[in-house]
Amino acid sequence: MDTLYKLEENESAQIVLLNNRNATKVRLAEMGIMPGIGVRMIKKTPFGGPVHIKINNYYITLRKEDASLITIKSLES
Amino acid sequence: MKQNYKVAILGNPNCGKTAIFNLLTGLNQKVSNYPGITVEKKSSQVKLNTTTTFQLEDYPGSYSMISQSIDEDIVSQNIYQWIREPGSRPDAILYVVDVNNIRRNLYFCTQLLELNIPTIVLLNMYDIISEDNKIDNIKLKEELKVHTLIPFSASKKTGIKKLKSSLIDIFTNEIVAEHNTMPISQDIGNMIKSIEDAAKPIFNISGSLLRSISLRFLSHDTHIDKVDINSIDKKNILESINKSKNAINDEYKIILNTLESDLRYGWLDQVLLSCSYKKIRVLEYKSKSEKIDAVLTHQFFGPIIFVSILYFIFQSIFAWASIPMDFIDTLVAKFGNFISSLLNSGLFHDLIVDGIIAGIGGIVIFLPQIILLMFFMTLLEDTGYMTRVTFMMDKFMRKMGLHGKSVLPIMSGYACAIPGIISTRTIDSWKERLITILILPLISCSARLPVYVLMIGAFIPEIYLFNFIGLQGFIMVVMYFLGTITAFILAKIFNKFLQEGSNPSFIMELPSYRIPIIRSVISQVYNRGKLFIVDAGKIIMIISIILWFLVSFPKNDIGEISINNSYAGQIGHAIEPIIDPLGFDWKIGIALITSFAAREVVVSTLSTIYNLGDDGDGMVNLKQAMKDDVDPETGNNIFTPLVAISLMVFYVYAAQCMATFAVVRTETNTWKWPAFMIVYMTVLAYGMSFIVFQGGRFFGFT
Repeated sequence: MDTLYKLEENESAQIVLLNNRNATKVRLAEMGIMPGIGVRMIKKTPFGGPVHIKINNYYITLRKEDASLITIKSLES
Repeated sequence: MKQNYKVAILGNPNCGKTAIFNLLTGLNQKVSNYPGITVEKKSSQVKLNTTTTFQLEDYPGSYSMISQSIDEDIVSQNIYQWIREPGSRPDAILYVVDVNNIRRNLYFCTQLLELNIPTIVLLNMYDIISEDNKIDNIKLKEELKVHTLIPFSASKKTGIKKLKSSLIDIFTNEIVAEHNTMPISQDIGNMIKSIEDAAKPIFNISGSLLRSISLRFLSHDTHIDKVDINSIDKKNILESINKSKNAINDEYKIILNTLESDLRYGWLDQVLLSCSYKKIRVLEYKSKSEKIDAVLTHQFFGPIIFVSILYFIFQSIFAWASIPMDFIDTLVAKFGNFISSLLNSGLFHDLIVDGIIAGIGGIVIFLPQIILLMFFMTLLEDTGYMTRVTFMMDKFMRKMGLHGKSVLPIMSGYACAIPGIISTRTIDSWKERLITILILPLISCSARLPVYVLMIGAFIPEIYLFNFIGLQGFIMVVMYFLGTITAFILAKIFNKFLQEGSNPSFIMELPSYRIPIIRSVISQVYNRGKLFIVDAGKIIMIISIILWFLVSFPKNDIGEISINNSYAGQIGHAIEPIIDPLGFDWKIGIALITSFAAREVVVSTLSTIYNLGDDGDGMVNLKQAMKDDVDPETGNNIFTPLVAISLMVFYVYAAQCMATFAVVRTETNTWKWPAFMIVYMTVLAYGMSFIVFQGGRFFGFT
């Protein structure tokens, strides 16, 4: 399974599982980042910096460490 | 009928809450900023009609009752206080929603609805709602059973009338709210039963509020640490949490942490779907903000644009601000002379003119720079650009031991460390927040500027390096650079050695770009500026009076005093052996001590020492007097270019602003960190000056 960080810019996927630390998992879910939700990669900053993603109709930034702990699968066609 | 109504304004970050608060209150705000962290809030009296006024309280933006930053802690602690002490509850809640992001914005709202405080939901930015985001507002109001739901626009000022009439209705008819809240299934109800039993007598609550708080304790057991209850109650709740955890079915174990958000969003989605909310969105749709971001956060153009904006801001602070600063300078001098002519000469006259007016003048002079910087910062924040800077700089700042959100405090630090330290509150990782606070006073604030200007103007020749780089300007840049570079190096070192708790996660919303509401920007700048003057002014005033006493006493038999024999002079002579290796004599020693009030005081102190009246062009005279001053024994000049540079380097590093340390004390809740800062900065100042002066002499400079 791929992680959110592996998405290329402009690629979309569906979130499957959050493997983050408990406190982070809570905040991610509160921000609407939860299993079943679609996500599109907007921008990856160089040198392993944070990513800029789109959830629903809003934009969120996450660090590489957290994006690498979110499992995704490709969207059903 | 009750007279003093209280209304709380709450919502997510970036929902336009502050703009609405400013719209309702204008310039008449009471910002209690520096006290202990728990009482931080902005409030203002608002007039509803001829007979009714209410107290409007603004709270920091929050996403959830499960708080994850100092700002959010303030909010959740306040709400727990409302729960436990019904007398402290507001009479109404204004909940502000960004209407283009209604699902996420309503999440926190549904947590608040459980309190059953009459709630008015403001669908803000309704003037720019996209067709996709329109829902059945009337149905939503019925589904949540809130008092009113108002399409609102802070920039177009629509919805105010309805807001006011709703508040009047709530006040006069003493409305009792009974909101629809998230249902909890039998299954989960059984799981949290023992927590409910433990929490019920402690919080004195029941129903859906009790259920949802119990569920929160179960799914997030560290949440209890955020609630201000005694240790016995806490132990009881923790025991009940453990009991419940043992009784959990396996199917809930894996989703335990997100149980509340799963249930809440599940229920909220049902509510929204019944209001014809479009849940499925086209992820490929590129919003206007996204297109702007393609340029502003572009790999190459992004940083270039950011640096250009920084350059423009600093250019304006140094070039434009000098005009009002000169004006204020003359005004203060004229005012001093005017007051001076009114009063009979004597002690009282001297205290007022030399102590108090001079002291206040010393702080008012920096207001133009601080206001300009705050204006640009507020503008950058309100457009949404600041979050992009945070996003772009996060990696670099982390490498330096800091946090993406340290950028804004550091930028503020070039005007004044105090607003910078306060703005670190949004950094949700304690370690990085502390490090940002610790290094902030090394950023050359505007109070160092007069010191640099005086020393460079008097002792650095107006010559050009390689025919085009002015030496004076170059030295000035070096001083700013020195402080900034040292700040970053120390941040890295502190990060290695400090054993504080750090939060490696950083989740931040990138809000849509929007045009700032100028009225709101002005109101924020005005209120922050006022806060700066009042709070920093108080401390500077007290120290100015003490200093005035030290330089004015003891008087001799005929009531005269020479600075040489004053208490300050005695202190200066006493510390001379210590500062001699830095190239400083006792007169500079006095100036170093008086600088503890504020760095810029050095200029007025040196003026006093060299016995000069403040007659408008005191600066020129002071420069000449400093140049002419010679050591009576050796006949050497007291001030040389090398001494001037050594003194400037000392000011880059020295811990000389007591107001800053007072603020650090309240923000860190201990004297340990301000004490640490004073020690490290003093060591650094002494060491660097020593190296500059002794090294300079070794290489034959004077």
